[in-house]
Amino acid sequence: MSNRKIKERSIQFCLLGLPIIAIIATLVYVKFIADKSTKAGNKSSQSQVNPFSYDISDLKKVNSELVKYVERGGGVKVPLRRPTAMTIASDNTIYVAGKDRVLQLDLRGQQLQEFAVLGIPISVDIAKNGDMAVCFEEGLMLLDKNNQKIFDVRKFPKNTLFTSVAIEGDSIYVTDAGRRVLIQLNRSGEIVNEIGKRDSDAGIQGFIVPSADFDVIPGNDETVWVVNPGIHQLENYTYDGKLRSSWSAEHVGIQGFSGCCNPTRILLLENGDFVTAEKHIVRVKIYSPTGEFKCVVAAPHKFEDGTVIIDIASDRAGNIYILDSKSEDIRVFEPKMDRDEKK
Amino acid sequence: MKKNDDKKAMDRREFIRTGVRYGCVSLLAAGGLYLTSSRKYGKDSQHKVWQLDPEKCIKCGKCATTCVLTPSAVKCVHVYAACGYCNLCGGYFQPGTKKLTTGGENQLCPTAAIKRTYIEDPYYEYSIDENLCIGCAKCVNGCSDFGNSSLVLQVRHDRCLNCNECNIAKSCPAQAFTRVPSSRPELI
Repeated sequence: MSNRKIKERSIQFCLLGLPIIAIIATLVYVKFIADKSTKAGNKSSQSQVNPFSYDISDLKKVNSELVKYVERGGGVKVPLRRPTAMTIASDNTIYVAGKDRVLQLDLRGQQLQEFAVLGIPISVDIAKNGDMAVCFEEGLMLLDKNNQKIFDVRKFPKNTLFTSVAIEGDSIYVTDAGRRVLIQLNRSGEIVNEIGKRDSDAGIQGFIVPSADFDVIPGNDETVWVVNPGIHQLENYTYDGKLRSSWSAEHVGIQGFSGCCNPTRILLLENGDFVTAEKHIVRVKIYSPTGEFKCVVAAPHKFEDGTVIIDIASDRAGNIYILDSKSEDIRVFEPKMDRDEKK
Repeated sequence: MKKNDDKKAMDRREFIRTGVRYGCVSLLAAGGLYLTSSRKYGKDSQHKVWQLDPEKCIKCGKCATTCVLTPSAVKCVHVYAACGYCNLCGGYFQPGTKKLTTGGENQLCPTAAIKRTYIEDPYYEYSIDENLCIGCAKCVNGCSDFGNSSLVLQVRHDRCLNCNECNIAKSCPAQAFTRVPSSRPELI
């Protein structure tokens, strides 16, 4: 190539090539360097203090002296994906439910029996005679201890949304968050009563159910305890629908319930004490039969962020079993006293 | 001599040909750049508006402080269908409030933009005065921590300037801001 040609190529490069290089350089700058500086700016602005911060960490702190239970390592492994309900029967076996099945486990998690159910169970309860009631969002099923179906009703009134089931005596009680009533059925699956409707003369305020957390448990002497979650109250109804007693504990501190729909789950211990599980500030506590706060089973720091306590139960020894949505396993909390005594 | 002139003429043609070639490449690059930028900010911005995805929002308070408008175009919006109409409302009352009254010391909102109205025992309705709301998300935090998450932040399009480069979107740590069609401007 002659010198002249080289010169001309150089001129061409200067006139046309350099602007192209400039354009490419600009693009590279815009894409990488400017983006980087924006991200850096974002990072520095992220570190700024939020003048409108909302901090409830103090409410999650619990005096360690109030915690009277200690978690047993390991817990009970649940051989189910996404368990949805749990209970412990009077024979000290665990029933845990998931999609299309209910498993019976011993207290170490060994599977004893499997029951096929169609759908996703929301709640399970076992009667003293071994009958098992399984409730679904819009259905209810009763099986006997030999796995024979007694009834399976899937058609209920419009807006039905079942959240919990309890068997007491010859009746099956189901809480209906959609219609805000406690439904009582007989062993044929027929509705015999709707309990808890507002009745000023009878002193019944009616159930306030802002979300689908509405629990019922068998009481003593053919009664049931139902949570009135909107007003943080536990109400005791007789088999014929009469309000016998109630107690409430509305307080934002550890001694009460706060927020919408608490307690989400309740449990009656043999000594008459209540175990309560809460959402939002996730914790498990114990109250006396008349509603005085007694102690903490599991403080909020025992649960990962976003944990939901699916269900709670207790065995004959008084240990509390918590079905944890994060681990999908059953966590076991033993009374501290027992442990000291064992030593 | 003639041979040299021909060579010169050929070189000139070659020069022009190469020039056109480079010109085309530059034109293509410029066209690509234009298309890229117009896809992001240009033509579509006529039909799209900024909106905040409540699912991604971490309620950091930046909507109140980084919007080019004062007060911010981001406001609290109440999704009534999800509300529990609670007496003890986590979005309305300060955590730890002893008395459930409308006293300023009990209210969580720094500008008292939430109105509490008695419906029937024990239900109360909560509505947002958008002229007072500054989009700080305190109530949204309270509602999600204690309630049904029925209070959410949304960009209000009667105020939003629909900036090409939204200042809040730029600083949002959760990247919760997105462009949505103006025909469906809300994400609730």
